[in-house]
Amino acid sequence: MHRALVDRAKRGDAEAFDELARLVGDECMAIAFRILRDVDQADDAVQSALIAAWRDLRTLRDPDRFTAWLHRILLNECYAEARRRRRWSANIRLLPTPGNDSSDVLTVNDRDQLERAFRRLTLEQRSVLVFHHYVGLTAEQVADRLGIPVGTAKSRIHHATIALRASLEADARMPANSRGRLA
Amino acid sequence: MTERRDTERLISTFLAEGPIELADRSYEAVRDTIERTRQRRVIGGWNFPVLSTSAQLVFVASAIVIAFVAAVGLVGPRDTTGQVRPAASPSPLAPSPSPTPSPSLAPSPSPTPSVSPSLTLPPRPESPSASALSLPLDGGSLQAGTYQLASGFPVPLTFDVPAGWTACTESVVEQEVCASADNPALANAGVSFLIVDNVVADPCVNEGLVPQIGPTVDDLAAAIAQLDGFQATAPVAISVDGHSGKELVVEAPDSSSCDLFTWLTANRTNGVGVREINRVRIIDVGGVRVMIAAAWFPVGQSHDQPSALKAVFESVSFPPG
Repeated sequence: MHRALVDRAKRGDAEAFDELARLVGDECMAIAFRILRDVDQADDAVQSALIAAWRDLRTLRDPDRFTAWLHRILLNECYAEARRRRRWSANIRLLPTPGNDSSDVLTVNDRDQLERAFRRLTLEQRSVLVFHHYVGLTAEQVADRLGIPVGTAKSRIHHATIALRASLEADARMPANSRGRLA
Repeated sequence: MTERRDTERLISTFLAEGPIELADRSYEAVRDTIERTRQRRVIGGWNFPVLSTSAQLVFVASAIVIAFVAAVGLVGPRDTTGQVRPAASPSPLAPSPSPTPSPSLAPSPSPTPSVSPSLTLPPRPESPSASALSLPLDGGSLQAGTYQLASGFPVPLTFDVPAGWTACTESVVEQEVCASADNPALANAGVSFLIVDNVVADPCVNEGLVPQIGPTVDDLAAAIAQLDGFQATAPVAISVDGHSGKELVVEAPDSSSCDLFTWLTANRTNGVGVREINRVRIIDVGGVRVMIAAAWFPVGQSHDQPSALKAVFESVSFPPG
């Protein structure tokens, strides 16, 4: 899709890479935020990923694989960012973003419960759910994108869903004033 | 109890919410950074550092000694009485005799250097070493002109670069110019100038031959021609500005399940991409073995060296031997 730009950027054309970054940066931000659940961390992870992509672009053999390659870098940066900044994050209440074509509207309570439950998942579990449910990849595509075996991808999606459901159920049973910090 | 399908619906709805844009200031920060950040060099290979810091220091010291010895040799060899003879002035206008590599891979049997009419190469100056631009070690865009390698390369040489090319040097002993990205025929093409110490024993393994190849032009040419899995033309004798050498064309396999390592400089192992073609000249310049490699990838069925790349490659000139 971005082959010409990738080719130019591989030749050291910063202008082309800037254009390329602006084509893919928003999606990277969306993915990073949904994994990290923190705007600042996601922003830092995306910047680091784009800079790493620029630095290592010449190692990309197939320009048509740019997006998949970049997502792999982004995922690594998300993990690194989470390791670097193990800080407690405020439990941000997110309002639906205008333009999201979501036929289902979550209640405030649903959203809070999901936010808490999602933060309890490991980064690996969050990643497969984001690529599967948000990016819309099949389990096979998730495996390819994350560089893991298909069986592992399927297993992670299954277990992440189970864990999320269990967490939601447990959360629903807990009194509201006993819910602790989540990071 | 939340049902599985409900959970999945909730997850999808939940994940649809949240920021979907990277802030402009973040794009600008990335842009500012990449303009100050060099890309890792890969043309003709990937980065495979092979030396420790201490070994690199040894290398630097060795390079200084080599440069000194080469400089003494170029200033003027001693005659039988021990007197230093004045060195001949560089004459890059002398045509470079063309090699005759195998027609199956080698695309340049012409007897004299040819320049593509589509290029706008400046005329050769009378004394290129005096007026030549210096190739920057830290990369960047190049203006059209005649260049000399950055300080530290043990042999002085000049070459012509058309507009739009960039410097993409890996190290002092592996300096390179990369082709313009505007021409699809030149995708990932470039010309590098190297001091090669060894070749790999197995292209799938980042290890040099043991024992290391010998010091002569023939040793290196033969070793490259024998890289396992690669197709290579037989090395043919050439002479560039009075310096003897060998030329061959080596082509990487169509596919590979491993990284394809090739030759080693003092600080890294070079590698190539699948189907990458390298036209290689190995020349003895005052006792220093210099390798010049033009790298490109086939376009469709054509394995011919792109004319713009050929022009740069064949413009390389040494002080007369």
